[in-house]
Amino acid sequence: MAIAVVMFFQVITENATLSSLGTSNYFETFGWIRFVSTLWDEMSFMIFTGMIKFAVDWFEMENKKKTLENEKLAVELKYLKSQINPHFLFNTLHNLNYLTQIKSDQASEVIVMLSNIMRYMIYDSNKPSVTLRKEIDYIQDYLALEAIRLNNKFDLKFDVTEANDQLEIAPLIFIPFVENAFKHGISDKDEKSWIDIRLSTKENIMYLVVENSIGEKVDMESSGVGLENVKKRLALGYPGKYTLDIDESEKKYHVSLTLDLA
Amino acid sequence: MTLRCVIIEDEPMARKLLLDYCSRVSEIEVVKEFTNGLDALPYLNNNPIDLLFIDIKMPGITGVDLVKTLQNKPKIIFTTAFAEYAVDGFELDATDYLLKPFNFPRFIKAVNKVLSHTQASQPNTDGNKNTGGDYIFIKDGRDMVKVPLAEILYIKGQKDYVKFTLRNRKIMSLMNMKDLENSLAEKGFLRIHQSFIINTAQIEVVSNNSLKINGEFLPISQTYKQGFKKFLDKHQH
Repeated sequence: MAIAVVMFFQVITENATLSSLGTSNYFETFGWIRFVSTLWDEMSFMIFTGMIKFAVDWFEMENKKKTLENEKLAVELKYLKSQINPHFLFNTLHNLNYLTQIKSDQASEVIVMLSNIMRYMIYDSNKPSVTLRKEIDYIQDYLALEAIRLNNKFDLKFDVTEANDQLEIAPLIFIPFVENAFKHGISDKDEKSWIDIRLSTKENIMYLVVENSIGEKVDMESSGVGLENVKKRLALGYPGKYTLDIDESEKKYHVSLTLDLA
Repeated sequence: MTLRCVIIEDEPMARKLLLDYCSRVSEIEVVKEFTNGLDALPYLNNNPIDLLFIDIKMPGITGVDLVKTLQNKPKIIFTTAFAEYAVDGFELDATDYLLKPFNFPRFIKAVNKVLSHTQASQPNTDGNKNTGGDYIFIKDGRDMVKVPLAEILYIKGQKDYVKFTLRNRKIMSLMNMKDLENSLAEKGFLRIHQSFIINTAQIEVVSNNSLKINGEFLPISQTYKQGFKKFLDKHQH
């Protein structure tokens, strides 16, 4: 279409300028030169419009790809959030089974903490953000359940004294790091294992450090999945606003996360 | 017959619960417990056992992989919180697959399966298994198993369950001795002891304080002696 318009104008202008030379003259003197120049003009226009068309198409495709990717990520994000460890849930229920069997008072404690955890997962995990307090409570309940499960045979610290718990954060960011600490370091055989978690805030910047001793590793298939998930979620939810360092030495596993919650 | 049994389970409470369940069943003797598969492997390769309770997800080696490496496989009962492992479990000819959380009735059902498997290899001496006659339904987990009364030798009451001794197998069931005594009284069954209800048709010999069924002596206690005497009088010429 564009080419047809261009050619039409070319013919008109050429006719106008060359009409002064007379028709017969024009064909005799300028025959092949005119042919070449017209061809050149046409070719350059074709290439030029072709490039425009290519560029437009390319941008369009890139756009489509991006929206597709975004949709994919949104779906994935939803899925990642729903990936609450069912193993933990059913094992806790089984422990509860035991505690009721031996008529232990801890049974009721476990029920309350498990309910808190489920409430958080069911009602709060869908929200874009929650207060730091809620996330902290969730971790505290989780840790207490793990402590009961492992019979308190390890050294556990969770320090939140320096944290402003009214800041808002995306839900379920901490748990993969905490779960990971248990997967890597804690077994009920080794009584010297430990986990040390520190959470603090300065203005709108939040610092989380999770450290744990390294013990026997649980089978590899499941560990690591949670970490990969949270990395994706951080990249999606806090682009350019977080740093995450993971260090593994022979005896210690160290995670530090800095997050700008502004 | 007692089943020599090993427990491999990394969760402390789950291990204790299994131990507790096993201790309630007189047929089971727990000879060893382990918190992970790698520790258990040398023991399992050197000591013959009858039954293995094994968790699937454990540190080091999974229960499924461990069972694959065993040369002399005992009867296997997998325990796990993961439903998706069930397929793997049954591919390895597991006798049963206990999905956590499970309770005592479900546990008993699994043990019944083991008992019926180990006893199935013995010849079936009962010809009249599916011929008519009177029968009862016995609770097995959530199922009810139909058992002809003629097959029952005696019923033994344990602390938490009753055990039906049939001619060629045993079935454990969470039923109540008192209820059984009452419902079977009309059908030729008689209570002779706190722990025994017998099928009178199976009695071989009666002594002073005991009687013999299928070569086994069962006690007649003071409480039930009067009732038993009445039964004897009825059948004496």
